[in-house]
Amino acid sequence: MSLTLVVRRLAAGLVVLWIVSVMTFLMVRLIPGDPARTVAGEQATPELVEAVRAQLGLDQPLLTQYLRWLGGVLQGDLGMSLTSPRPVAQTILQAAPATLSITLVALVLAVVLGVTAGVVAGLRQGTWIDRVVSTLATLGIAMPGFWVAMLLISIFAMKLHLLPATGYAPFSEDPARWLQHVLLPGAALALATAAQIARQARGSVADVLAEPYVRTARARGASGSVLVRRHVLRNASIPVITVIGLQAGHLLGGVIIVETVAGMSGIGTLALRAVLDRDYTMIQGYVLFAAVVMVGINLVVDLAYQWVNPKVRAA
Amino acid sequence: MTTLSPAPVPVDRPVAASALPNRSPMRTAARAFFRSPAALSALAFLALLLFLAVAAPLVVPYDPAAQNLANRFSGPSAEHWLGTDEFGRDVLSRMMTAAQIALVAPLIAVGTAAVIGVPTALLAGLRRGAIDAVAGRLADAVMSLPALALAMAIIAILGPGLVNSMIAVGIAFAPSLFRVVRGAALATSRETFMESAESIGCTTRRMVWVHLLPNVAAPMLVQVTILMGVALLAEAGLSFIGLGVQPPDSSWGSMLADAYQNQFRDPFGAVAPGAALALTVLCFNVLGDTLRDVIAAGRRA
Repeated sequence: MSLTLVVRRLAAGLVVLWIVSVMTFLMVRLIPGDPARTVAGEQATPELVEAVRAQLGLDQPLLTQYLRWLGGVLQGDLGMSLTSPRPVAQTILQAAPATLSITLVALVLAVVLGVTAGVVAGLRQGTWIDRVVSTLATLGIAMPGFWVAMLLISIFAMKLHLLPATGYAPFSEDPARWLQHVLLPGAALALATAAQIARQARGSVADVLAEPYVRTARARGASGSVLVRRHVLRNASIPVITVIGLQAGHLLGGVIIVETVAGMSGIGTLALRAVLDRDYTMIQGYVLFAAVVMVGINLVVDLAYQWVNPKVRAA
Repeated sequence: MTTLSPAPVPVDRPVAASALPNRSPMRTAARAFFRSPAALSALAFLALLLFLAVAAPLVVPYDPAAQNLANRFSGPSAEHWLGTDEFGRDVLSRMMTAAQIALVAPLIAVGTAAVIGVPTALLAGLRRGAIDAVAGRLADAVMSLPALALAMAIIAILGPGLVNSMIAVGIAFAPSLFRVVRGAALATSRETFMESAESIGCTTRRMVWVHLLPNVAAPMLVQVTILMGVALLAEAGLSFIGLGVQPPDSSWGSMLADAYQNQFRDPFGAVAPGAALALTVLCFNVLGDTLRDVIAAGRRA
């Protein structure tokens, strides 16, 4: 994998982020209400409202406002929240660990469970294992993640008292307690994604097994684990990696609601409050944050894809 | 590969007259569809929901809003099959009434996505050029955001509520419908019959309606069916956090929010609404998957 390729992918990601930044900036201007009045308060005199407007730079032309905001964003400054006297960037970074922990645990669980189940089903097509995996996958895709979280918490936390029902413990303080807190919501969020990955993995293993080169390899005497590792898994992994990338958005959206069920005040809680308060700097910051995480995940997925598939390395 | 023209009859092989209609891809697909027990069960369940959506007020065992504070959290019984909630309301009646929202909400979302995505996709696939480039970049940018995050930002503009939140979800879904329809339109626009239509002076409107639309209908139908299920999940999630359906209305998602509030007094109150959601989404998915398979089989036939 060449360095120029990494640089090129990074540049493409930055272009997407720039489009998102323009889109977000224009979109939040559509939020009804006067942000200057929101900040100044309901009882403020017209003079005070105008002073706040000038202070926020809202009396400037739109382009000037955008460039000022973008300049701030590039330095890690997302502005101040309209409803609390705190910087948006700092608020988001404080809430992020809980949300990202659930997402990460879900991603790892989904890939491990989904790939294992899918590959086993694909190699044993038509057996009872295949039917069980396919049925569970079809069911898993249909279940709302936050509902699964409610069920898991009521069974494993409230009935059996095996794991804590709500709350969060930072990884840096106590990794074991961190895992106890994020395991149930992570597993609930992972279910649908694991099911999607399992379906894709089963399908691509089945497709690869029908390829002439697998027949050739078999004819040459390759069998068992060598055949599976060298010929089947490597080729079947390409569509699976694509699905993992597509699922990133599903995980980052679903976690908003799952974290509420798990009683963690993360990014989702923050975003919900911002939407209800029409705190447009916070919404702006949240959307941009979500885009950065998405582009980051997709960059990793993209590079994994290039690494596995030499055919697209040159492209 | 058009579903409108009669299937070509190979001259070197005599074909019985009665066998002719069966060779149309659409008929082959339809026959395969009605031979699938899973698809028929899914269709039957959705038909039941449609019936409840229209007739729930006539068939519910109890008034879904009638409170009976003496009989709260009763649990399943002969009188109340799914028990009662925190106000002693009959859960089964409330669930039957909410079937309407379970169908209407996804329809609003998918309808919005179709209004934005389909015409843009048809033009982009047919004319390519600047429309295609701009729409494509925009779709990329929208898809680089989690759909639910984008929907929440749009709800900040439109305000919470069932219709507003489902329009927001529809805007977030538009790119995925755009991509599927654009791909099909692009492939169709390269067919010879499209070239012939253009060369004899067909207007763009006629090309789209008569030639393009029937040929992209199949993949579009599959995507719309799948999106219905995804939209219902989005509705449930947004209603759960209070941005979707507003009281006094309730959906299965908002019933889950009630169950969450009362989880210590009634730990299994979440089972019924969640199961109804999962079953409905399952039916949309089974329907979509079967349609995809039978359409592919119809084309091969």
